[in-house]
Amino acid sequence: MKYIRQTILPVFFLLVTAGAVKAQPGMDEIDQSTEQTLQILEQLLGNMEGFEDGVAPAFEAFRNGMGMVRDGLEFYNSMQALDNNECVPDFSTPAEAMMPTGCAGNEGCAGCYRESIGRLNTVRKSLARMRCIYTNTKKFTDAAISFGDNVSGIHGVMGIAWQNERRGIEQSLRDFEATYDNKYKALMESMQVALNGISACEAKFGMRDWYQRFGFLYFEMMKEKYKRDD
Amino acid sequence: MKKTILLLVFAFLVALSYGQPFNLDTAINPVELKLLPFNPKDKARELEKGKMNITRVTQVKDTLYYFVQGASIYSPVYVGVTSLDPANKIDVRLHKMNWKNASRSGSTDEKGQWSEKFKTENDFGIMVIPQSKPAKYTLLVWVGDEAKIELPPVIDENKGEGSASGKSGGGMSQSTILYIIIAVLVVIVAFLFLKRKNSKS
Repeated sequence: MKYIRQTILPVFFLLVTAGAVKAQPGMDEIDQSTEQTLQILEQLLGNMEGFEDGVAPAFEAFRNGMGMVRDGLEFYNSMQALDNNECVPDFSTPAEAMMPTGCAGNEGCAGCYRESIGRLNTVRKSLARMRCIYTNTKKFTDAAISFGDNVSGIHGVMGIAWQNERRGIEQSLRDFEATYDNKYKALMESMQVALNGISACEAKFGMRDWYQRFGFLYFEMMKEKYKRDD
Repeated sequence: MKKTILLLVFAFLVALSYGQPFNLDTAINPVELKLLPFNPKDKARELEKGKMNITRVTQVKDTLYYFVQGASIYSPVYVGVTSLDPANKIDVRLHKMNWKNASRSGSTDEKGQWSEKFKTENDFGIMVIPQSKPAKYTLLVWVGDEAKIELPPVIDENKGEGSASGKSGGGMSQSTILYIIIAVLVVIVAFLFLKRKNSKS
């Protein structure tokens, strides 16, 4: 009861007073929640009496959906990309590029491996995400240009305005490509550091010349996979 | 430090990529739904950590457009629409590339609710079309923290030095299996040959 008095009543007051914009006749009223509202929701454990105008049912629907989630990774894995044509990170590695180890089961080796494997996985995740951002941006740009070209052909005045717009879109893509290339180079350098680290562990606990024999092949495969090819 | 640099890298890349579903129609002015930090204090609610936006709307226009920025492909996304009048069905469409083709669509149910869960990179658009106006509803957008993804290993612990360099390892290699098959065939041929020879004699 004390909790309700302390939390719900201020919430009610807050929702009634804060951010509430009076609608003009014939105008849409769009009222976005404030940081204070979310802070109160963060602390909310029980029922939501006092929340007015739709916040309670919307938040309860969200909580009901999340209530069944026990594992964050499982929840994430169960989701599909929003669009069927959207890029999803691909972490597969061809069997021939898989790298062997000469010190599996050795505790000293496992400890030595940890940092380099951590770095390698961070780079793999970043490369996959960067590739997706690039693929999506390229698709978006191509679709936008094709859409603009089609529409502007119908209307003369729009055609002139579109040419300026088109140049801007193309320039943005060129800037984006240059940024991709720079980040790609930095990430590949970081991957080489990680693979050399693994090679050093192998030299100490497992096999000699690991990078020259196996790491190099993997590095070259990754270099090709994430290189911008257009 | 490493994570901060990576975040900056992606913030820059995302800033250079597109901003919202594409259109050339000046009548479409999407409203950005700004995501705010959402960190429930209750440990049992830890999976709800992320960013959230709750927007209450009274819509008088036929169609309203919204967009959200700042999602990561490694984060779960939830979008929910709750109509205050369940009898007034509301059509919701989610858009990725442009406002012309919807990536997903649906309508509020008998409880006045509709929701979708998905993953996406950076931004997406939400188009809302109520059946009758004015329509009162609440939009809730949640983008969770990035999932701790376990990448498939690239170091194969079963692929020892011997087999990797083409020599026979602990297990049976393909060439060993081939030799066994050839040996078995030679034995069968020899057995048949001897049998035939014996029957002739």
